[in-house]
Amino acid sequence: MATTPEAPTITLTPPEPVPAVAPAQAAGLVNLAPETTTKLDAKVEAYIADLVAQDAASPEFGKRVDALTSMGRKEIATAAGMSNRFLDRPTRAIDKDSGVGASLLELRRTVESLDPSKGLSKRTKILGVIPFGNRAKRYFESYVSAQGHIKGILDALARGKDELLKDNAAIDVERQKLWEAMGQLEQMIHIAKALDAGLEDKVLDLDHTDPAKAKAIRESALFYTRQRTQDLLTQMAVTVQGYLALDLVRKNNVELIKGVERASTTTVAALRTAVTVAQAMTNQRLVLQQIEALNSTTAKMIDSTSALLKSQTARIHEQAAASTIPVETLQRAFQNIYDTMDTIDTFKVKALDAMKQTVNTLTNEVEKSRGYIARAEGAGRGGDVPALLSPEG
Amino acid sequence: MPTSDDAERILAAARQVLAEQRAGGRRRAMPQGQWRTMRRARRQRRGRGIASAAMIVLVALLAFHMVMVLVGLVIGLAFGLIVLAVLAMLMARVWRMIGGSPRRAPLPTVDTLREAPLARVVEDTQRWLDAQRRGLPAPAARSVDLIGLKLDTLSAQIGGGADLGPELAGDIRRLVGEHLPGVVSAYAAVPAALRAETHAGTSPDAQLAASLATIDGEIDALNRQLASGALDRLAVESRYLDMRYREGGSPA
Repeated sequence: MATTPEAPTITLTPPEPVPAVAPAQAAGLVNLAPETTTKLDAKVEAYIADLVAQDAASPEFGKRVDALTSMGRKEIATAAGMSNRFLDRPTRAIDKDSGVGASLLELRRTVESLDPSKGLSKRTKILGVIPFGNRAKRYFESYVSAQGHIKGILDALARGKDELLKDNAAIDVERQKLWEAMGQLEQMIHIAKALDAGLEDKVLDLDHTDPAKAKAIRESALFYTRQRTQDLLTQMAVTVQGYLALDLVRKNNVELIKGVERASTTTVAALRTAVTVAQAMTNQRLVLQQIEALNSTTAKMIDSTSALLKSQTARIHEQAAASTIPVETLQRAFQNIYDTMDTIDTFKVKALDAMKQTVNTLTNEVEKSRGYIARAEGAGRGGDVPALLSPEG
Repeated sequence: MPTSDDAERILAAARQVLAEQRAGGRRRAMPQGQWRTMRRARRQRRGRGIASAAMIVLVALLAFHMVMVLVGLVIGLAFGLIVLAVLAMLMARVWRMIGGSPRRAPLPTVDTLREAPLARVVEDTQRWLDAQRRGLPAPAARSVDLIGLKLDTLSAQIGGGADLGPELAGDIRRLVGEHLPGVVSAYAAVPAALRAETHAGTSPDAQLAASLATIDGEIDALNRQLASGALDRLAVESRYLDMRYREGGSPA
């Protein structure tokens, strides 16, 4: 018995949900260049020296401490502004079962109506052409009437694939911007941590020489520095999570694109098989012009498809012509479509689950961070941040 | 049918003609005097032709001249009218520039700026700033010029239908319609003699410079924020084309 044409099995891997990122883990994800950290450290040293030089009771001292309360305000605001959008995207991915979902459903329905196990009875299959020739003829004629519909669906799938690609292009751009925002936050976190360590050292020194100033620094500058460090870390954690969530949506899209391509390929392959089988069974020339036209366009649209189709077509012709039971070849081709669709469905269920978990975690974290951001906004409005405490470039 | 006599006669005649032609033909037969008369007559005929041709040319020239004079009159009239119209327009503009037109919008004040709708606030503030510019110290006037350039961009973006949320619109109104005129008018209220003097740890001149720098930075940030939608759209389109055509359109 001839082997039936079989596409290599397709696996669509749903990405893992993004876990909550603890603020403590958030720092250090974006690497800072050594020259940047050197510059930032120099800034911090200059700031501390300047602060210590002021009289602890003077307004100048107060002004410099105020600058700490608004440290990183801009960076936090920028990253927070993006967090609204990155939460939006995965949510939308869940809500709209994009055009692709609907097209796949329609394709399944149409393919089921053409299923050879329903259209061709078992006896036809065993006895061959003669007794039920008319029935087989009728069955294959149904392809001709369905071809326009199938072409429409395949076109819609190709458009859906383009939409997914565009979605991913937008995600790429957003991730690039988030990455830059994370770099700025990372710099501010570095500044805050260096300030913390530097002030701590200074305070220990001053405890012996100028206890009043040591107390002032500890209660104001050091206190605000630690508060801001926490704010910055919280925002960083949310941003990192959003960054990962966007990657999750992107990976989902990539898998879905693979699924769509495979669904189109298997469908076209099944129709080609039908043409060959019809010839073998009923000596009927099944002319599927629209599908033939589609072959070339599909092949152009989907590169990976064309190679697969080429190798398959040769084998289908060979087998269908040689096979004593050509219907089995056709059934196998249909099974390929079903397998692909089942894979996509399983993938979608799992992916949806991962997406929902991610969105929930992200929503929680964004909510939590809002409190910090509000504080940063409130405190930050007054003071203006000296160049001393701003990120590089 | 010709007889042999006819043939004889024809041949004889032909022979005679041949003999005559050999002897010089008709030219030799005409005497010299007759030749001269003929040439003279021909010359006279030619002379009469030249005279009449000159006459025709003269008449044509006259006619052409008259037509040209007429055309020139018409063109001259039209040109004169155009020049008059241009002059009238120029005069009207000059009249408007020196403040002759009663329809000119009054110069906005700090209060009208606060009330102005978003669509007008940027332009009004620019006009107001232009009027204040003379009273400002040179460095501040330069800052105001720079702010003016950024306001041009802002105004173009608002006019171009940039994506304005209510929050952003509020920010623009506050910054351009309130804060900017606020700080400039507060400075203008300080007597000129005291502007360089130290007050509250700094001088009014320094305060104005610092405030204008802050506002400049904020307008710049607003411009960037307004443009971010268009910038993002372009980035997405370009990335999409990359993915679709360069990277083969299928996931790796």
